[in-house]
Amino acid sequence: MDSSNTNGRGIPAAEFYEFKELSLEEAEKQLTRFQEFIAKYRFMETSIVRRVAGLDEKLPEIEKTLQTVTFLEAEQDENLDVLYELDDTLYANAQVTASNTVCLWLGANVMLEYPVAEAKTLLTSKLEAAKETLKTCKEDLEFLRAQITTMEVNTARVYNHTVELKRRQK
Amino acid sequence: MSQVAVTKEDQALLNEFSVLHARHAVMEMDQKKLKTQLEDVVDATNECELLDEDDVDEIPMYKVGDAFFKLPLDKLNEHLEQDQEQLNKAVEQLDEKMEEDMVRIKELKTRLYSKFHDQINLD
Repeated sequence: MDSSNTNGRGIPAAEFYEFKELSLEEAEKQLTRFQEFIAKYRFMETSIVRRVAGLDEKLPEIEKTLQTVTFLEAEQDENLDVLYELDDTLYANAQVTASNTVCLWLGANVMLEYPVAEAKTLLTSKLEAAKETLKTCKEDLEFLRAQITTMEVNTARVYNHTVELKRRQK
Repeated sequence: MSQVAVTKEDQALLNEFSVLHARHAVMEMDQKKLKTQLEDVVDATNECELLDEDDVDEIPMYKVGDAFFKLPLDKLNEHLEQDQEQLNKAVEQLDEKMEEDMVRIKELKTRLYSKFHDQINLD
């Protein structure tokens, strides 16, 4: 785990707070500073977690569509008996001839017809892109985890030092 | 100080441990999911071995995406075989990665416990 100044997406690295002696006042100041950092990191963590959840939902959809297109490509010109999903928990029978074109729903009420091979390429690249984004999000989360840990340890060390100080003053 | 001081290098080790630990938990869940899928495919394959290819109505439909297709027995067996291969490969890759991480986790635990003894809890 490296700690360059920021990670690939511009998240600042947490500094490991070094100190020899620390006045109570200075310690309190630092503790507040650490808490602020931790709060900011946690906020970033929450938004990335949300993005990961969205991707986790989209990915299986793309995979299923790709699986179907690949299947149709292999069964070209065949007459197929299929039980398809008409609605949630409602299926209907159909007889289909695997054609050499498919229609892909692109979102925003737009549907385009593609030759099967092109559709497969398009879906494969969409799937790869989604997997890449998911990978970078997970890396960001790991990076954040490390920075939060550093800040928490900073807090513990400074706090222990204040305990030691108060003990000495007695 | 009765406590051992934490250095910058220790912090890096602690962070690495924290990250690997969290990653391991996620991988365990993925492993469970894959194993269940694999079991399902193996069960399906075994069921199909008992079938007669001419008894068309007995042959189960194959799920593609959200739809079920009626297939001749040989094509069905082919698909099941491919699925099993893919899943086996995925399980292998995941197991390998988990092994690697486990080795590093053990290493880190040894180092950190030897320096900090009771000061930290890594489990």
